[in-house]
Amino acid sequence: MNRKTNPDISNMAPGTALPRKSGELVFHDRWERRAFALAVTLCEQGHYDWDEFREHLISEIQSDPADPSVDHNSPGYYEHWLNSFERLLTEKGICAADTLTKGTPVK
Amino acid sequence: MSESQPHSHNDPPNPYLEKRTSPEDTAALSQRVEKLESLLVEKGLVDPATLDKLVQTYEKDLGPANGARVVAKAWTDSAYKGRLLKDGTAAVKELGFGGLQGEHLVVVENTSSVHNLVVCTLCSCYPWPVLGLPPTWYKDAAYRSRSVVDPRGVLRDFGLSLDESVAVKVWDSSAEIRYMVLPERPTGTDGLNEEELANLVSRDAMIGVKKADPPGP
Repeated sequence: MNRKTNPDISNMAPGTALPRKSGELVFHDRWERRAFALAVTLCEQGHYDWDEFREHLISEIQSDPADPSVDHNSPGYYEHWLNSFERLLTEKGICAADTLTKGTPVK
Repeated sequence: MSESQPHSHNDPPNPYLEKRTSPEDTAALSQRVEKLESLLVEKGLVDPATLDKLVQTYEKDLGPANGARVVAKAWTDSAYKGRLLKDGTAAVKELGFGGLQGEHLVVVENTSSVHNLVVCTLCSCYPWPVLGLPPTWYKDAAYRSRSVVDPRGVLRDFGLSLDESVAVKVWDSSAEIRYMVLPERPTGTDGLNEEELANLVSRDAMIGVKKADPPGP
């Protein structure tokens, strides 16, 4: 299968750009990879434009005043990503808000 | 490079690179994503089997193939070649290759009298949006130091013996400037189209340790 990547996703501007090291995407945990894949998959299916996702990502990142390179307890990139994705799913009516856990631990 | 910015040379700053969540947070986030994933699977929107493949596609989408297309275009379109040599960043963007985060791409042209070689003497700066991930040897201390002192010797090690009349120029990459070599178009390739030409352009040719491949039989 010869899949194409979306340059809008690969090449986001600094500030929202995917974390990379020497060009290589950096995922710290499996959930980050899954969260990445889910948001990209639904975009590929046409549920939203990447710009819509990116707008949410920008606002999530900007609403967090902590500098993650200094404060290691502040949310990481893919936590912002996940919040953005869940907001978008709710807005688009793909998922009802009450079905999402929004960061509260699942009992 | 100043001591106070030990990493600035290597990568565009991204504050999230070192970020790691605590084991408790990781567990909670993992559950949250799992729940989300199963919700989307239930709705028939997501096939779990394709998710890993998708991530891999993005991980591999930094191939030297991008650079090879740039070279093939320059070989066949002299106006494009002019733009490429004048402003590499803008010219690769024309073909849809961005992702340079603040650094400039400078393309240096090999001719019958000049051969260019790219190195990063301090670490491993590399134009990854066009060349993909750097080869292991690019980061070796031996390559980084010897390329400057004895570039012809390095080229010989790669199997490339240049005539003494050919000048060798070595380009040291930095945080601000990434170099890529535009190899000479091989002879006997007049009838080839851009795609066929791109297949002759290896990663090593765009670093400058080799020439572009001759056309196959």
